[in-house]
Amino acid sequence: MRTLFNRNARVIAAIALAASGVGAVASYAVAAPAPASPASAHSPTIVIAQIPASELRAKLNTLLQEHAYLAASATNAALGGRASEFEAAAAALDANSVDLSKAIGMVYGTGAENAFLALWRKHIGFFVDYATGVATKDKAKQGKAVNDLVGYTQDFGAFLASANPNLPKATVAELVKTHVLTLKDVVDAQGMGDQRKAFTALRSAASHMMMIADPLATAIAKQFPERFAN
Amino acid sequence: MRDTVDIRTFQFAPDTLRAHTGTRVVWTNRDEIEHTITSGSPDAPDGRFNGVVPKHGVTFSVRLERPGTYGYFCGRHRFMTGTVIITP
Repeated sequence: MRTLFNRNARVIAAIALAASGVGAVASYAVAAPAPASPASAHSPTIVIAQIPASELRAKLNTLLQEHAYLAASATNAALGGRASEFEAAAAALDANSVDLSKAIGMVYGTGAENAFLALWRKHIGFFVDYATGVATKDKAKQGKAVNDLVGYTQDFGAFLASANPNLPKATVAELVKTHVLTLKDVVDAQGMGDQRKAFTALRSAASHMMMIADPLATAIAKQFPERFAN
Repeated sequence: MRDTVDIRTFQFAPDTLRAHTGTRVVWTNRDEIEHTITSGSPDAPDGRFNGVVPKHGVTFSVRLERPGTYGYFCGRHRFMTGTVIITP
């Protein structure tokens, strides 16, 4: 993701320079080669460059799969009683959340970035609650965490549906629900000490993230075709 | 007088609204999820107003007669906060 952001920052600077010379306003700041025709004082040029949609899809897939692996690493360490490993995994997981929110912010702005991060962290908190319930064999706590997670899928669906009309709330909510359930399988196996089962489930959970990343990337590219080239 | 705040993508927009006394402030839910407009801060609701907008398109309004700064938040998504500043 860092490469994407760094490249974006360079292009923002390039567009700002181009715009300052001709009085044009750059509507979009995205990465691409310089235009064939340079801006002139007589024909202001708005530099609109593009990121390949495939790059967006690849980055979202990477980040979301990383989310699944880091979440499972954190819960495995927590359930195994390895505190320092848990703390390191949790920190990496949060860094991944921040990167994801920046990806959202790059498309929808800082307000959406902050809202996404708060929502995303919320579901991680519910997962921590669930893992704690598994560790303490507290069925009530597990049940509440599952209910909170299922409720959260509606929030997340509403967030993306509001941001992008190509993402129906119910569809997103269902996809996120599957994410929740596949990761729950991982935690359950970890709680039973069945590492083979846990890692098999983790492969499924990580693989499922593609079912979120791909539609998300496609919907964003469809919403902003001028920013994301096919 | 009337001023509007949209609730969209889990944000109040504008997040700070400046208006004059007697203005009716109208919040419109543009998200497909329930939000609330609860006066005060997430840690300290002050009971001045508390509106629920359960779904897309539903509005809630309050007429603010006294100058002051009115903070508010969403009770379901407490990271969502906004402010109305009323001047004479």
